[in-house]
Amino acid sequence: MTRSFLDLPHRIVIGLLVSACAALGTTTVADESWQKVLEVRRSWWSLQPVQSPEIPPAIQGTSSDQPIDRFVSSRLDQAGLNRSASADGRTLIRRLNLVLVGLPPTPSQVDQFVDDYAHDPRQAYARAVDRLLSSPRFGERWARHWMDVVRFSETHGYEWNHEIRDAWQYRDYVIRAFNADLPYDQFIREQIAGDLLKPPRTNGQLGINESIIGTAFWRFSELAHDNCVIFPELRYDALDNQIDTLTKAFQATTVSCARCHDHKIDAVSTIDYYALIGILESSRQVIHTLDLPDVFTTKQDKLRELKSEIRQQLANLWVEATGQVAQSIEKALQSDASETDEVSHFVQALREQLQQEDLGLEHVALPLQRIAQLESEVSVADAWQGLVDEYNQEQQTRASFNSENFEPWVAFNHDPVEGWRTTGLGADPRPCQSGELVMALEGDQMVRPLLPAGLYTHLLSDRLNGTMHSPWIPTRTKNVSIQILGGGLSMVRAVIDSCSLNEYVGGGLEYLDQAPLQWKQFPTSAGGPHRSYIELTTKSDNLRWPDRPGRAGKDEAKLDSPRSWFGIARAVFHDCDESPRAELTHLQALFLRSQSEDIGEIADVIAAYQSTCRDAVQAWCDGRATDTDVVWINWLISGGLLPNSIDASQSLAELVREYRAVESSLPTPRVVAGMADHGAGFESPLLKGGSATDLGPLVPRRFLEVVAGKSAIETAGSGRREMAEFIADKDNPLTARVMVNRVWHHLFGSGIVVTTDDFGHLGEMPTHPQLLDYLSREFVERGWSIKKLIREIVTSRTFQQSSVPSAEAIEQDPLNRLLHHYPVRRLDGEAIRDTFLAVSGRLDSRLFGSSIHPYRTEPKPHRKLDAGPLDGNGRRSLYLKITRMEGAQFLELFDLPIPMSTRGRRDSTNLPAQALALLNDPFLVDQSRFWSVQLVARHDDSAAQRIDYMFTKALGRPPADRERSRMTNLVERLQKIHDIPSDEILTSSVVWQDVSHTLLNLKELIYVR
Amino acid sequence: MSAKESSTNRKSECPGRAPAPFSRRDMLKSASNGFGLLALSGLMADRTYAGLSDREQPHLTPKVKHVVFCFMAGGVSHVDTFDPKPELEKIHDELVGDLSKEKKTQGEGERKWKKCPWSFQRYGQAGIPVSELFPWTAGCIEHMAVVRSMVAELPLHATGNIFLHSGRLRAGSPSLGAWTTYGLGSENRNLPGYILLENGKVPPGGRENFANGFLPANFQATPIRAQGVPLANIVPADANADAQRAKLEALLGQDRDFADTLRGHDAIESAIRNYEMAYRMQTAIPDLLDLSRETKATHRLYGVDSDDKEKRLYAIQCLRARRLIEAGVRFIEITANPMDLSNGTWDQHRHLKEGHEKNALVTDQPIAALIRDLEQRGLLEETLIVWAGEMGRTPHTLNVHGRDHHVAGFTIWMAGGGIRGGTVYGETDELGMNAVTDIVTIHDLHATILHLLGLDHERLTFRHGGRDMSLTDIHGRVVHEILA
Repeated sequence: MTRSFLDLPHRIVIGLLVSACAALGTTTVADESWQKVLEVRRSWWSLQPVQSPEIPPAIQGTSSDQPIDRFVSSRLDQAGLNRSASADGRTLIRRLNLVLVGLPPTPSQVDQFVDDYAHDPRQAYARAVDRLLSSPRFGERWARHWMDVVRFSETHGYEWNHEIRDAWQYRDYVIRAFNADLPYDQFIREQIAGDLLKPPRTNGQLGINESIIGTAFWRFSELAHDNCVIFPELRYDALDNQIDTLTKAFQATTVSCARCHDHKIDAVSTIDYYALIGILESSRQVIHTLDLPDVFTTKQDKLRELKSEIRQQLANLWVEATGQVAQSIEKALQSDASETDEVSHFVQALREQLQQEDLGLEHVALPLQRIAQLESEVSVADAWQGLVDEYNQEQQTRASFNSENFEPWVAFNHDPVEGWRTTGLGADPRPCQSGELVMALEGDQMVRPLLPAGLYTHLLSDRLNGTMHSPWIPTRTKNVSIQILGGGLSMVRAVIDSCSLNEYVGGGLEYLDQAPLQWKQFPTSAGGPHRSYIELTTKSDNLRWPDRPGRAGKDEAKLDSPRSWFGIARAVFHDCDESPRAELTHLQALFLRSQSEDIGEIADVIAAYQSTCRDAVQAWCDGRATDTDVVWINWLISGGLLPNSIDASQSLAELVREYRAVESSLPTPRVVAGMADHGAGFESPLLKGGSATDLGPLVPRRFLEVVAGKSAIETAGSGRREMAEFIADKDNPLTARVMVNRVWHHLFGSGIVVTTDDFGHLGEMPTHPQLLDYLSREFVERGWSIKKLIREIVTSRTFQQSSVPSAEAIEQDPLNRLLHHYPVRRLDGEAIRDTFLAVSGRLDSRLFGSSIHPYRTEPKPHRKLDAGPLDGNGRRSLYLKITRMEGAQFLELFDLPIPMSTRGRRDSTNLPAQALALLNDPFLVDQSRFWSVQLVARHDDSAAQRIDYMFTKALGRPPADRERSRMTNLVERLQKIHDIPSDEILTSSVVWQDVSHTLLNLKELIYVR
Repeated sequence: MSAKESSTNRKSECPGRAPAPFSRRDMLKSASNGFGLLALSGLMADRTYAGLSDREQPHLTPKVKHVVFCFMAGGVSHVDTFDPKPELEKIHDELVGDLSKEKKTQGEGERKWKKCPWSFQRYGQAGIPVSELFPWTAGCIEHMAVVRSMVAELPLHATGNIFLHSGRLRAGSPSLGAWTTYGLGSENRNLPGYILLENGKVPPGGRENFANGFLPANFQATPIRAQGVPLANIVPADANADAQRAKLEALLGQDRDFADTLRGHDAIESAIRNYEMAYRMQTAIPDLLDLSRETKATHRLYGVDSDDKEKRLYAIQCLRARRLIEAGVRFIEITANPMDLSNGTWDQHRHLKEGHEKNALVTDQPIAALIRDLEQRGLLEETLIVWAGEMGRTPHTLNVHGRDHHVAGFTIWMAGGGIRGGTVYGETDELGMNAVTDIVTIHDLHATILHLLGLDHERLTFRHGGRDMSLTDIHGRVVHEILA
């Protein structure tokens, strides 16, 4: 490495690269020369295997030191410096609390510790560490650190700020992972490929699949409209963000630099980059269901059982009812029927149908209508024959049109269909046969229309979720049509190149609102190299939900309803622009039956209807109904001839009520945004110069060559599973070092490698490389346990030293890189806010759950920026919603990063706006008020006594005399200013609110020392 | 230099410009007499808003010290404002041919050419045509360079906004204003270097448009609202000023003791000093933004007296811009209220006539007034005014009444210091579809703005994510042709 090359600005290096590569027609260094470059670059320190360094001898007089202390002391010793003395007990317990759980200790915790510490410092300290490591607050604190690493966000930003579905589930997952001390290698695997782990890690207590939640890791990108046909660059930006985050988070390597050209200085080639693109393009963005099936199984079984019984009882009732078909038709045909006659629903409905002018050929009542409307000179026999001929001819026309123009892709009528992937609790991968019953879940009807053969999400309940994805659509024809139904704003669309928000191209997007079975057409290709698949989702599985205002209609009740369903019956390929025509086979059944008979008069027609209906219902009772039978039965149900009213039978009514009760007790399926594979993976093209429209050769999928070698991943899937193994490998030189360094960074405010996210040439060199290797090796050997790692570090004397440096040390090492004292630093925004809540007593210690909108003076609904409560309901800051476009202002003021990329090391700025916020922000005023209410209720003898209490509560120590008198002076001044009688001073909330406010503003409160 | 002196003389009404810094220790010692005294002493030693140039020499001789960026969000129609296309009259209502090469976001369907519904007049010595939408601005043409050959990347609001602000298609990089203050620091250490005079709405792309990106947070925009409390937390929580002072004095004593126990700590000392500044800002900022001391004539000049609410608010922001310039703020961005549109003020896909007329009414007079006012006060020569949106609008229409997003050729203008006034630069084709001569990219625009500020866009870099990042990346050319 040459320093001079490094110092060249990016543009000049690129310029050189471009001209050097111009002859090769690419901006990638040719493979042969890249190999030479790589050989040089792989000698970089962070790419060397982790060593087992010899632990330096203990410095004289400190023989009890741990290895960490020996490594640190040996460097200090070389510089002629010493470690600072140990901090006192009060400082230590406060430091431990703030660093490990992000909250100050309570006064009793401090007292307890100080007592214990006086007796046996080592024991007391170890116990405190253990207590904090096993506190649930530990997971909250360290989850937030990790959320910076994965650019955690709950919205996609850009223009409509779409939700990242239930992203808070990932936050809770991370909290649980840290609290359970999930081995870090497993944590890696789950985030990269948790959907592919067999078996997944499950959580019996919550009844969820934990591993699968990890894959939300991929999904926190800013996302544009995702119209990746017209704007392919936007899609590559999203992919780039995934690669950038993956490689910075786990490898502290800036692989993204190789998007347009080989990395200018690190061991990453453009081939490496597009090998990773292939893995990601072979995956797709989905909504995962978290619930383990058995959470629902009992109830689902119960529903099935009830449904089967209902079906049986209905069958008896219905067969009996078919006896009235003829009679009812006769009645309907009686033109002289007086208005006052009491007629059945069916008769009424049929009369309306017979009078309808545009009854289609497909309508069951059409032949009857024709016969009924015969001119008197035409005989029924002739007319019937005419109908038979007309229908035969029309059916033939339609059938031949369909067979000539449409090639079957798939019919969902029996076995699971290969390549079509169904997920969710409602979507049984095995299609149902014709005539499946769907219960009406409210109202006075028992059942909804019977279903033709197909795959449906609502066979038991329309509150169960479901997703169906087709395989990549073959492009040998121009179009594909699918026969679907749906309701409750389920969605159908084509997803192109896995662009998860696509709504415009490839056939667009449609919301289904009580849509009957119908054909929906898509082009098989969006042109060029694009791939697409068809996606059907219930509302809760829809990646865009809630959609932008107006996109799914404006009916609030519909938008809010938890009921949503879809079904699919068939898919066909075609070149023509039409979809298949409805065939008339169900009416042919009527004509076939009557051919052998002699239709001479209208009674014969009625008889034909009667027997067709009877046979259809009988077939259904016998479990051999066809789609044709279903049409006839639904005609009878909709007309009311087959009893469907809940009061038709008492025993049925009871069953239906029980069904509804069980159905309404089903829990809401739990879901989260995630990543899944999509069949066999494929290779992606290299983009020349990073241009999304300048496609180069296909690049075999693999992980970074410098870590995993050159051979392509052999896999049946995307390659994510295999990639996860390369990263979680104990011999990966970066993985353990990077994580150990992240942990060190949070414990000391600065990493052994200061640039936590860049271990490459532009990052900083480790200050204690041997220590880093020692800890990394230990980390892996102790089962990748983060808690063990933290325990080892915080029990070192290096961690326990005082924060006051000697003048000499400051002179010699002003940045404290050698750790001659414990570094003082400001708390991060979350810890500041949480500390205020803890001190004021407002802290609500509930764990987990959906996020709370940050406080805003006005909501911006079109950007999904709702206004939350001023105090966030007292919840810790990591439960405030992370919204792109406009985040939580108070936290951002204290450097909560905008979630764009891995941010392992936050800024710690010092701005007048922060002082303004601490002085005037309504949140601070509110917290001061909250604290003061409790203070004035205390039975203190004097202001001084109360000041003592407040200091202990806030700072974990009593005030010094000088401080006490300063604060009692303040109390006196405030008493005068506010004109409070001196005997009311202890109960004056206005005075104590001011004192509280002053204490909340103390620097000592928001700095860890 | 007279401009500088005159503004220095006005020091009493704005929180003064920065004198030479004291050492922190000196300042803390001098502060020992209590908070109030310190506040009155007006000592400013803070480097909060210091930029690169406080450590390094500026790259070039600066032509201007301030930038006012009038952000015309949503996309102003170029053919209706500064780029007349008589040819459109001839083919008005005729069907447009194949546009398959044009990137478009609006619906499919029959597109027809659409002529400009407004007339043009020629202004200035060079006879530069400006449509009747901007009679006031047109009167400033001798100060303006009109660039008719702008191109951007993608015809999408969010991408376009982010690109115009940060030179990148994705959010996450520093805004132009952040780069400027990073490069130059604030001239006034009491005030942020980058101020956003906003309307309370979140534009496509989000607040990320005005963010510091990977630069430290002190370079992000400080938003000042047109209505209501102008700046977050600027109103003292204490109704009683004595109470606040008493609290602050106790606080200062505590914090100083804390710093002492640590034998001094830079961050803590600087945090203590921030309270001093915050204390002063509580009165200084409202004073600075309070327009009641401006004359009636000035109010009329800007349109602060307008009956139109939107215009009144925009005029207030423009007048505040002048006061901020006087106070030494580096980079001021003004946004206009998009009213009922969520995607930007000028985004008229349907009601072009009504929409553009309303927006012109709102912005034309106040912007022209700002130019005039700065000129009268001798500040125009040290201020650059940039008038630009993220894109233009199509010369054709899908629905007769509107125009759609267009990035292949559109117009912006710049005025003020260092600009060759009364110029037109670049051309689009005869239909206003594509920029054809002297094409100017957003990177070029950025490079030119930095150049005028004395910053070399190739040398203004910040190391992040394994690279030395810059606003213009590997692109950008200073458009010398429009410089004086």
